[in-house]
Amino acid sequence: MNEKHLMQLCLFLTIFSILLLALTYKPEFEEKTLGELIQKNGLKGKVFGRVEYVISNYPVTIFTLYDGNTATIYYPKATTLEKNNFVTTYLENQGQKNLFAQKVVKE
Amino acid sequence: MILFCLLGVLAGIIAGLIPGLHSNNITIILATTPFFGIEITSFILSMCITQSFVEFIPSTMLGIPSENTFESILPAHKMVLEGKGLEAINYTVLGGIIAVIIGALLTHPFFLFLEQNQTQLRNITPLILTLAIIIFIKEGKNFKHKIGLIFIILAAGCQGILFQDQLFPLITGYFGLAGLILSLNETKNIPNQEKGEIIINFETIKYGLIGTIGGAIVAIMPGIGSNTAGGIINTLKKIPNSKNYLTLLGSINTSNFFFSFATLLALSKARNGAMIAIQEKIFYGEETLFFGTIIMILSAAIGGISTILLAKKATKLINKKNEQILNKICIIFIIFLIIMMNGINGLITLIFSTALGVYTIKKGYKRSTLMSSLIIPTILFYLFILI
Repeated sequence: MNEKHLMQLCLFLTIFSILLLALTYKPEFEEKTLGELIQKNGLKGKVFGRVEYVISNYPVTIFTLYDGNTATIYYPKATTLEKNNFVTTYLENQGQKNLFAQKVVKE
Repeated sequence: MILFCLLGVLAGIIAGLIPGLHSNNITIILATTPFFGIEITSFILSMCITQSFVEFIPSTMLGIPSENTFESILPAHKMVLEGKGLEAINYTVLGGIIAVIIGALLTHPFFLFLEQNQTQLRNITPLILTLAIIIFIKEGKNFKHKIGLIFIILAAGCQGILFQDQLFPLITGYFGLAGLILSLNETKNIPNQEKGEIIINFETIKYGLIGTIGGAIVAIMPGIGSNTAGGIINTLKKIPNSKNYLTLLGSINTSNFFFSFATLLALSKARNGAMIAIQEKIFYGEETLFFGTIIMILSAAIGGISTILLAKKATKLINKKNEQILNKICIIFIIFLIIMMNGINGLITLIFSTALGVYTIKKGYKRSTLMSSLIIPTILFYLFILI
């Protein structure tokens, strides 16, 4: 085996992984509404909304988010969120209408 | 995502070619940006995986180590002097490719292993490291030689503790500058480099597999780098030739990074600078692991091709030059780089580590003994945690 063969192996892996990406890739978080997310277990989505109430800021953050519908969000980190902040949240429905936030970004 | 991956590959090539510029420096900057999600993860993973391939070029051709490649300098530079520099680099590329292929297959069993044996692994680590030190001493030819080895181990260990925040000057002194200074008195030229023919047989694959497993274990344990793992494996099980050793080092280096990503997702524990930067940027879940794995395979493949092509260019450059001129340029470059990156403390570290490196070579001791500078602080680190 020489470097040509090694390069061929690398080229095969390049094409293989690009094809695999092309066939399987879908964005992890698509824009959704709270109404859509609440309905189905395991569903993920990116939701923009206003913070209605902050129940807890530390050690975890629990707040209610409003985007036309209202839902309680659990975020496993401390934040400085306040009432009426506008946020983009990356949410997952983990069952029993609980929405788990993987990321909360203040706008 | 592919665009971020390609940008990461480009950054990895630059970081790999410039000794002292580690991808961690770039990820620290990225950590402060507002980007997150799979895109930024793709960039960081691609950069680090590519660097794990490309960084063998300066180590092999110029004898300038990085903190991940210094164990490769002695066998690789020896092969450059035999006109087999390209072959040496190709073996490290092969090792890296074996690591990503096997790594992709082993990710899930690795998770299970990790969950069940983490505590036991942590407990046996200081024992394995102590065993490596004992083997270093046992290799002494006679009593006087063994006393000399103990002196070097203790001196390197003290330097490792004193200069623990100056890793780059420390290893550059031991494994780079010391050899370069001594070679100034030698008058041999670097021969024309032959084509990079490599032989793949059962032995090569075996060492690629051992390296992959070694890299996976290292990925779980803080304080142990790829080189330490390579040195320990070589000490415990004598590796018969340079080619197998380079395959092993190439696979450990890549696999270490590959599995540190899996460790981050499984245990939420970051084991290197890049993972510390990523941990606040990723969405934890099986999708991230899946896409991260594909991105790492893709960047390893592109990194492998880039390394082979760049190594050819590098050999053309060194073939035209006299080794002594190149060595003088390297010495000046190393000193300049260390002053720029580590300041006066780095320079002081470099002077002490080079002195010990020169002494070790002059007295005919194995330079791998100087790895005690990493092993002894790591043993103390583990004992401190365990007690």
